[in-house]
Amino acid sequence: MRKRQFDGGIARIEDVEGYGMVSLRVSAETALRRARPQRGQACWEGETTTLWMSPDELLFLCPRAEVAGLLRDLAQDLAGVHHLAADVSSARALFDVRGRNALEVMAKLMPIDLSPQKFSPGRVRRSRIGQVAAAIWMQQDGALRVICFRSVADYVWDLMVDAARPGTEVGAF
Amino acid sequence: MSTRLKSGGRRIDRSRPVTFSFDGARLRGYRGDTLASALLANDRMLVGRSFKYHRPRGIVASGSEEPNALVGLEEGDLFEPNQRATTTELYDGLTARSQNRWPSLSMDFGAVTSRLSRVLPAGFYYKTFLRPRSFWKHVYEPLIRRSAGLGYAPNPEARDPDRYEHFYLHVDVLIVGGGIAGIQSALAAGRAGARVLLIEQSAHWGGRSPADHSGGKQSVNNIPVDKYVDECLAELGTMPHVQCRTRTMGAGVYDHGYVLAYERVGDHLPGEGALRHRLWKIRTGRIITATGAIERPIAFPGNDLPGVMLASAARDYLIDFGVSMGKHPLVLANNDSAYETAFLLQDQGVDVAAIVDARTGDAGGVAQEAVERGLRVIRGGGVSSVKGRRRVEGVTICDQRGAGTALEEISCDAIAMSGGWSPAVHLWSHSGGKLTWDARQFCFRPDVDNSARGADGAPYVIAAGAASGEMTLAAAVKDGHAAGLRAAAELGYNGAAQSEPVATRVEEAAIEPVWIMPSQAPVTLREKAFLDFQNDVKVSDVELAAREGFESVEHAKRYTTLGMATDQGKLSNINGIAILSDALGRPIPQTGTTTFRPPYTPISFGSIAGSQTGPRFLPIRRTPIQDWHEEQGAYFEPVGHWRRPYCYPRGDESHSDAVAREILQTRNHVGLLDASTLGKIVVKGPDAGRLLDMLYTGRMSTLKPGRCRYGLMCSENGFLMDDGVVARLDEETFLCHTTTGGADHIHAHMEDWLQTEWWDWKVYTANLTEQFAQIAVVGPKSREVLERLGGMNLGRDALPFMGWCEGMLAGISARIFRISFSGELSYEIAVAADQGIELWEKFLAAGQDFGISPYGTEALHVMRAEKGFIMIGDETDGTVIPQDLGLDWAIAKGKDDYIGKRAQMRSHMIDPDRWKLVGLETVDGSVLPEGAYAVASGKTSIGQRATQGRVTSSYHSPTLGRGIAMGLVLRGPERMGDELEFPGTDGQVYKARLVSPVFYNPEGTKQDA
Repeated sequence: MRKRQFDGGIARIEDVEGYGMVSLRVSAETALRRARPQRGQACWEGETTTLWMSPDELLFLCPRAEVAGLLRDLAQDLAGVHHLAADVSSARALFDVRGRNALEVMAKLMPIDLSPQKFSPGRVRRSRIGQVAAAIWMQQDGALRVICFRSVADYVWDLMVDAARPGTEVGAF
Repeated sequence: MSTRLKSGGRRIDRSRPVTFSFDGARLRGYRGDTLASALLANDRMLVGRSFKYHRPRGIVASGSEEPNALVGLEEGDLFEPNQRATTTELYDGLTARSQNRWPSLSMDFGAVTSRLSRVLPAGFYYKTFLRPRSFWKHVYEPLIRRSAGLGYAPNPEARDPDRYEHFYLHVDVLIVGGGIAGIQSALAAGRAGARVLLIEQSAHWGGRSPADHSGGKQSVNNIPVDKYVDECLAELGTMPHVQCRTRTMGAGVYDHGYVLAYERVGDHLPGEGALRHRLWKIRTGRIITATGAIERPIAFPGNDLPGVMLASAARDYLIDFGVSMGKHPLVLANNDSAYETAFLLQDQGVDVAAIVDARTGDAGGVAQEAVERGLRVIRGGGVSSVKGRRRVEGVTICDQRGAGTALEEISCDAIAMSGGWSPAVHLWSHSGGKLTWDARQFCFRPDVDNSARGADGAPYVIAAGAASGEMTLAAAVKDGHAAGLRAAAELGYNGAAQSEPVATRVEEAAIEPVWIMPSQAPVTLREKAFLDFQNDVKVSDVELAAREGFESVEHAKRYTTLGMATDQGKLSNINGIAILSDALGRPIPQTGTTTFRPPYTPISFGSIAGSQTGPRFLPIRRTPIQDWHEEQGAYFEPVGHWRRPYCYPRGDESHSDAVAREILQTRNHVGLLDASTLGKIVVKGPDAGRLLDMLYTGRMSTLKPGRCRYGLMCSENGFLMDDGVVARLDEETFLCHTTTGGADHIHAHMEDWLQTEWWDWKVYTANLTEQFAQIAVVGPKSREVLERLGGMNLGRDALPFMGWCEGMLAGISARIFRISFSGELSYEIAVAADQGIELWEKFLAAGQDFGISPYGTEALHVMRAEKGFIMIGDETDGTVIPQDLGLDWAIAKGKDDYIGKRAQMRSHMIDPDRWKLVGLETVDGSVLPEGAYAVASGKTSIGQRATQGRVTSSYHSPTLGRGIAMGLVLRGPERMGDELEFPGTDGQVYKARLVSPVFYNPEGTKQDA
């Protein structure tokens, strides 16, 4: 897939490539030998971002080359503990949305509360974009990251680029 | 005649003239005008023809309640019918056309129906057009459709170039209505610290206050009301947690604090492809409806002639646009508020003909002021007729308590009427807020103790100001303040103490109800007094409905069409309810109101669609190999949200030829299928086997790691829901393949059972459908193609049929399943989706000398049918159980339970007369029509021909050179060799013999090769 970039509107949107992703399902009480985000939050450790997806589900994002090592570490750490860890590096598309109106652009598409008072760095929400499932979080630098399934990456891209058309600022946030 | 005065008009900019066109005439207005004010400024009092009688109609109101001044706006792709002139902001080049007239507005042939109004009463259609029955469709309906109606629907080929979008917002308090009460609410809630959104449907803040309340001379906190509005807005502007939006209408209030608001972003600034409307989808803790009140017309004979206008609208045109409704207007009222219209007109030098006040009670301060101003006031008077054909030229005065005997004639060119005020309770009522009758103000107002309630049982809608029946300035600001504080406090925002705003108090004399003028009007006058201008409903129509037994207000509404037009009866409802109550001899609150439904005023279809048009209309899912399919010119078919290649035609090859070629290539050599869309769900945990034993009819827990097994999933009712191959990855882990369309709902089904019933079982699932590209390599040469890629031992013993293995295939990490949906030697190879296209191209290169080629879903279907394999959705339709399909072998006999087992034991499910799967072979080799029924002798209980089976799949088999089919037939498996008749829709009767559904290689030697 060619890497796309949209810079002509009220937010800057681009494909993010090269990330590996690991989905982990394990009970909320299980201690991990790594940072575990609070409910509805992301946390960062080195180059790894960990997203809270549900009480018993986490999603790790790390450089693609580190996926095998991460899976190995998790298997080791959780030996004997009921869990499911899966490499989902190819399952999703990842986008970066940034700029002063980034939250507004996404609030045209997602029914969640994206007002700056409520959506700050570290916040993660699973929701939808248009008619498909998507998740969104805010990086420490204020940029937004959006993921959706890879099969609908074009659809989500089209919606986001349309929502960021020049002159469509809402002025709500 | 209506005219622009030399001065005045706080909304218009006289230095910026604007040109527009109405019915082809070029007219001038000013920036800031509405289309209605600009038409009035040009003495265009006649603006449309009525719906039923084609009567000449003029502008009645100044806002969204306008019933008459509907125009067709713009042309071609931009054309929109039924746009209200009163809410259309004027812009340079605006083009409007009047509606419902032919050939022209002033000369309308349809007006002949007006003379027939005596024979066109309520319910006329139902009574007259009943017989003969066949006439309805071919004569009456086309006739009625031609003569009735408002604007034309746009050309179906027109394409709206404007853009629309949605916006989701979550706030604590939403306030609908930017009048004085709403602004006061926003201040109170905002000062308390709540997140507030204040919306106003018009382009301006302050609502009616600057035009009402002594012509805006009243004050709040000793500040004139218009200045006070500005000061409040300035303070709201300093609060970062408060937003204020004009041109944004609260369209609908729904359960649990959900509100739709309609923002007209670009209607006043048209531009090619610009953003026009934005639909706000708002979640809110509390909703304050500060939607004001709407003035009621008076039902007097001739009240629909152009020149008759609401007294409040007359004030608006005067103050906001510097337009006088006439040179000698008459004011007609039953309350004090209309006197302000007379005073303001007089202040602007307009000669007020008289004030006709229907009341006989004590005159109040305004009547005194009128006398002091030298205005003529006729107390206890009424109007019994209006002179003029296309506009008001004079009136006949009568005694309001009489039968209309003429007392005198007064020459006037316009009438400003006021029958009192009705709170705009629409949004309050949308999600269940109740109303109560106010016997002092003669209106329905919100029953404040019976608001719509949220999930927590707490009321979440609060009415404020005039919308709550608090009609005076002093009461409205106080009520708005209290509403804002209450909303904030209920959500936990208390803030610092705030002082209550204090406004001028003015004593008003009591209103006296006037539902028909004069009160003893005979029927000849009642049938000239209009209630609903837009739908041409008169006092006599409602009374007729009452006489004919329509006691329920909802029935009377539908019988007479009162309140059913695009304005939804904003002006007519209360008057109509009062007339109905009077005719039935019961009090108004006993009659009640009709139901208030969203939207408050019509919203555009574009705003509902938002940005989801064109490529954004529907998510189209793409496989990792989709680009390649498109480059090959594949012909696609929708499968769920995917678009899968149906076949890959070469050159000008027909689809059926392409399918035949793909099948023969695969059966004789080797073919490739993109199977990435198949669902792939991993199920892991100590109880994974136990779960799968419940989900599938077969026993999965005994499957050995490295092996695959075909399984069936049923619903609780026993019906076959999905099928697929399960592979055991290790002791604790299974990979469940589902159908393409089943991936998401089967995953949800698993989680549903795990989370609600078997929450203590140790199982996790993950839907990995999109992680993998899956490619089927199928045909006698498939093993050789795979071996050429190298890296894995795929010999017959190393990887037997229904086994799987993993390793590096051509350097790509792969999992290979030896499974077959075609009956051929076949492999399905799963790799990371990112590497799908790389592997696909390697297969193409490696199999070049075998003529390897991709095949599509149709070849897949034909090959599975040749082999007698069922397809979910073809052989199943939600009423078919596995036993019907001869799949008993896939049901574990010894299992205590599985989902659907109990249902499959019910008497109807084990009935030997169920239709069961068989193969169907046409006697002449032709192809049976898909879905055709096999007829039986006799008729059913409803007189239709009896049937004994139906075709579920039917294809031409290029392998066998004949038609093959499967079907469900009454006791089919017991009747092998029987011949059945299948009448087709083409008039032919197809004869087919019952045979085994396995047409190809029944021994299974090929897939096991």
